Amino acid sequence: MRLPSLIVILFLCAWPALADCGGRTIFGHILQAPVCVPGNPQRVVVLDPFYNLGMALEIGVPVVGAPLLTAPDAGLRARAQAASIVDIGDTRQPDLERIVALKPDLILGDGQLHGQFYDKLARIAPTALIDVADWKDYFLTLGDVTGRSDKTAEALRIFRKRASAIKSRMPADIEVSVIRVATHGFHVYLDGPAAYAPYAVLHEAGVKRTAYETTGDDTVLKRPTWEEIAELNGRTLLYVVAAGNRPGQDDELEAETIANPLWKMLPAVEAGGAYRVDKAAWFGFNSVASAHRILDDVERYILTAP
Amino acid sequence: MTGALPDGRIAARTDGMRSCALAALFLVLAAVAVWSVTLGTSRTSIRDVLAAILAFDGSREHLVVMTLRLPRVLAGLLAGSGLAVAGAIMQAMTNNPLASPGLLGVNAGAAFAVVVAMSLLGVASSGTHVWFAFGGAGAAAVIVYALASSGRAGATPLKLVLAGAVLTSFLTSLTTALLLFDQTTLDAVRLWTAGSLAGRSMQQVADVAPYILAGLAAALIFRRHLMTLSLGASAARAVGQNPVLWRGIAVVIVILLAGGAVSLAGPVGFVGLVVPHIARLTVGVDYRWIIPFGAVGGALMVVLADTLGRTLFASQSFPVGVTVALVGAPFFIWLARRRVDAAP
Repeated sequence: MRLPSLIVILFLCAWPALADCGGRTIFGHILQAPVCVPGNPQRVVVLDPFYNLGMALEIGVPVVGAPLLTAPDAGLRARAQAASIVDIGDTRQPDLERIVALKPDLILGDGQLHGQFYDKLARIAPTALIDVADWKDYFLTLGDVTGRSDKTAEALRIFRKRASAIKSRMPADIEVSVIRVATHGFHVYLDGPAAYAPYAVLHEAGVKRTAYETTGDDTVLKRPTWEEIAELNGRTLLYVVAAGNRPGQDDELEAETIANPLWKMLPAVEAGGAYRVDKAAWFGFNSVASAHRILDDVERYILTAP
Repeated sequence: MTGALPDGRIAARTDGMRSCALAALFLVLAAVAVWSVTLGTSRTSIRDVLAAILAFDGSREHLVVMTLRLPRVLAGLLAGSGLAVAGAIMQAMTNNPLASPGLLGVNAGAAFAVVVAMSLLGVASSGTHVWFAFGGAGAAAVIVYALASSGRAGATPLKLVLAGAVLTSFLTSLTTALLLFDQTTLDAVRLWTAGSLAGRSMQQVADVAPYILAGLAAALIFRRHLMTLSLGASAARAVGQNPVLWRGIAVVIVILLAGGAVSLAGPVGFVGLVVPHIARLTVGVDYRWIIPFGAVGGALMVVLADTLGRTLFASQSFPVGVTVALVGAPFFIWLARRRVDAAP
């Protein structure tokens, strides 16, 4: 008897949201679901300059405000500024007054980053805080919330087709290493169930990483020392340099790193198979376009390499 | 206090025991340091370590010893002893058991300078950061001391503490403001501010070593004066010491030690606070002994913590600032409780 009555109570609680909904009701992958959102939002504020901003712009969502101050990808920031998007400050502490002034009809945010602000945000406009780890699910949810499911499905269909075509051409016996070079050490994003988006794309394209870079648990990242990078013994080495946003800063760090004799001893470097890849896609991944740029690199450096 | 004992023979005997204990601690330190150099992703025998130092052949194993492990251990030794002795001097000078080098603003100054270098000046090389950290630490300490010295009474302990706290908050808020704009720097700085010995080069160690060694030498030579300073201004005057002059000298020594240590290892806060206490609990309230014990004990704690950190949490670059506290805090509590229980 308890369970059915619980369901009835839950349904009654959710009923106002469902009954008054003039637009669409979103049930999954967002905080505080179900949430009623407008059918065709016209003034959208996004709260993070990563997935939400990049993906929203990609599928033509009319974004009026975003935290451009902390946007890590200069290209994305320039596109946002060209689209006259108003800056709402820091993504970790969005400026609520500026959001109110923008009169949004929908607020998009990230479940982990913005969950604490939900109550305040929901009083300004319907708020969808997307809460799903996989980048493709994130993209689909964003399309669902903004009424553009057809666009997201089509974009992912094209991506999947390309990724599986690459996978079918992938030689079975090569291992690839990927490393991020940062100012105070290396970051290695692993291939595993919780892989960060660019590395999940690699997996989907059939790229096999080395044993050190593969995991069965939810570890996302390892921070190897100079001594440990010897474990990155793939035939090809892709490296991302992320020192900072100043011009020349990345190049300076790259020069210092590749001059180190221990770097030169890596198998891929010795064999001439080490390539620097673009920071925008590998560090500031934010859209299906980023995923395609990862695939570009796979074709360029892994498929066509000798 | 040995000098206060009526029986000269007891004093001599305890001093002898202290010397023996110091020598034993030093041997333990040497053993841990050597053991640390042999550990890594693969074990290296002591013979190979010696071969790498004496007859370097450019092989990967020798490179690992000479460019990674040895500089890391040396940086740990220098930073640990520097921080511990600087902490002891701060506690002596301010008569404040909670004093640490951070009180002079050295950590905040170093962090601010490193963030300015990375974020505003675009310096990517971690080798250059050493000098920014040292400069920032030194400048902050000089400013704190200058602020505290203004006025007729000179730099009293209370004024030092206040000036240090004010400048630290000021610099910390500036640092936070800069980091807000720069996500990439934030990630790198987060690791730096936890205190890390990873990636120190022999060149960096060689650059900073003279300052820390000079500071250690000065602290050992002047340890009697520092002891007098710890008795307070009036007692110091009574035995003919000029407290204003000696406080100035003490600050210079702290800048050399803590500035050098922070530039090598980042702001490892715990060592400077707790190692002098451990030394005091073990050898008594006598800075003539606390300083050498602190030098050896601080080095031991940092090298041991860093070795454990990089062996137990391999692949995660566990920052030494965290492991020092993880290892040191329980030990300190155990020691303090044992002493309290033993007291009548």
